[in-house]
Amino acid sequence: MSEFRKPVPAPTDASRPFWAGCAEGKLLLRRCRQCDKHHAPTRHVCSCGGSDLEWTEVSGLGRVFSYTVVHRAPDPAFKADLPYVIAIVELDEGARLMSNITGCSPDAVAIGMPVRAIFETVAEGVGVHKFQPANS
Amino acid sequence: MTHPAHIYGKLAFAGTGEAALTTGQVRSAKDLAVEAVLAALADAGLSTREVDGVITASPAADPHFVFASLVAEALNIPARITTALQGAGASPCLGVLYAARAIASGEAHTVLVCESDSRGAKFKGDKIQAMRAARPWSDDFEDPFGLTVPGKYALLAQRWMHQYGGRPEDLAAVAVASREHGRRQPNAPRRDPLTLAAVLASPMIAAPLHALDCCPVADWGGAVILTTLERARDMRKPPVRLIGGGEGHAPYHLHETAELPSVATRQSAQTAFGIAGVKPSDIDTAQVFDGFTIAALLAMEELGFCQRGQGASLFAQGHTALDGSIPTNTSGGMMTWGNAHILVLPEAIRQVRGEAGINQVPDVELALAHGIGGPMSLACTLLLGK
Repeated sequence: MSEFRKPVPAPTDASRPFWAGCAEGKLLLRRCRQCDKHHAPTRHVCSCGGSDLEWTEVSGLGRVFSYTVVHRAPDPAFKADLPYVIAIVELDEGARLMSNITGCSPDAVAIGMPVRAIFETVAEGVGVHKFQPANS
Repeated sequence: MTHPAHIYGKLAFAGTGEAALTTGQVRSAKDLAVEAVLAALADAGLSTREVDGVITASPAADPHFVFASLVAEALNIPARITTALQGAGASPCLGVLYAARAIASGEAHTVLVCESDSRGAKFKGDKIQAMRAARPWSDDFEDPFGLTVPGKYALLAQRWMHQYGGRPEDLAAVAVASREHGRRQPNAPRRDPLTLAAVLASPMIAAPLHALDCCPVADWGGAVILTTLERARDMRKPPVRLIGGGEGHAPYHLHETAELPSVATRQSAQTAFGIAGVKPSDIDTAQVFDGFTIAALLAMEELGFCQRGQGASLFAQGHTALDGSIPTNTSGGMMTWGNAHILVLPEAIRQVRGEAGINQVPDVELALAHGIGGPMSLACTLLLGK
């Protein structure tokens, strides 16, 4: 066990379903009951003004919207992973999430690349979403 | 919505000051602020007792829960308004907007706007640690993935390169242009010219950003004094009028920020230009946030100094040089002096006064100052004139 642990999400009342979903291998987004738009868990109210949003399981499929290959870690806990890929993934349902791309060489990552969600359980009832190439 | 245009033109900067740059010695954000404010007051020929408002940025590496009160107390300022803003890199320019509102409402007549922080010596120049200190809270939707502040700007840079066919050397051109201005200054930290090859050969931080795409980390303090044009006329230096200003906003999380271009910069520029009744081609010099090469490049595009996707050629082809069409970051900017976001204001004031020394642009009538924070969630544009 490394002395330095990577940051683990601390679920709040509002975000708990999202992290619990990840722990169960499900990607959940907030869907607006008024206009059907899907949102990342960082939004609590829809752009239509609707505040009646329900957690909905989505496909976990999407594309890389942008990415960076990190060569300087923010924290010793990430040093072993260098160089690692951080990406903004645009999900097929429309919302975007910050995540990592794993399961391929950083050189293989490109904007527009199809990816699918995978999950890592990091604490009791808390998972983290990551993505890997859709064809792997 | 009508713009509060009536307040602009009747307000002026009366003084500007900076704390001496030091290396190695850890100085408190309060000490740095006090030194900068005293320099600004001396510049204006004012005593602290003639100031009645204090607006500061919130120092991230040396935080305090009522920082503006702390500064007002140290300086013995009989303040009628104080606040510390949380606008990150946009705080100094935003502070001027808040000062303008306070003066326009009659709640204060002479307001100090200052920014200081002690990120340099404390973190021994370690950019990543200093940036972490700038964001001491945790964010469950970013931190588990190992996202850094340079990483955020790298995500923007990668997207910009994708949309416009840009290359890493296009970003590097911004750093090269800043060095050309910085190295001419008498007290420049670096005298040697910078080359594209040197930027591209510097260690990769978060691709496509190299170490020299990121500004150095510094301790700094800067202050400006905003007052009524009427009062400023009786002070030591000729007044520099605030003729327009605007702020712009976008989501904080980068995954929520829609496509490039930067919505916040655009909104702030439209408001400021609309109030002043001027256009980008009227501006004689621009001072913009350049904590990262991509930030200055995106800002110049969205401020309207070039077409979207053309920001790189603006820097690479000399348009931002002292004899170019829009001399930009004429002091050398944050790329030269470190992450002092307030730098844009003292340099804009000096340029309008004709006090910019070796890097003075001839006959400056209009200067633009632009701050960005968050990293792209808020922006502020100010227009200064004779």
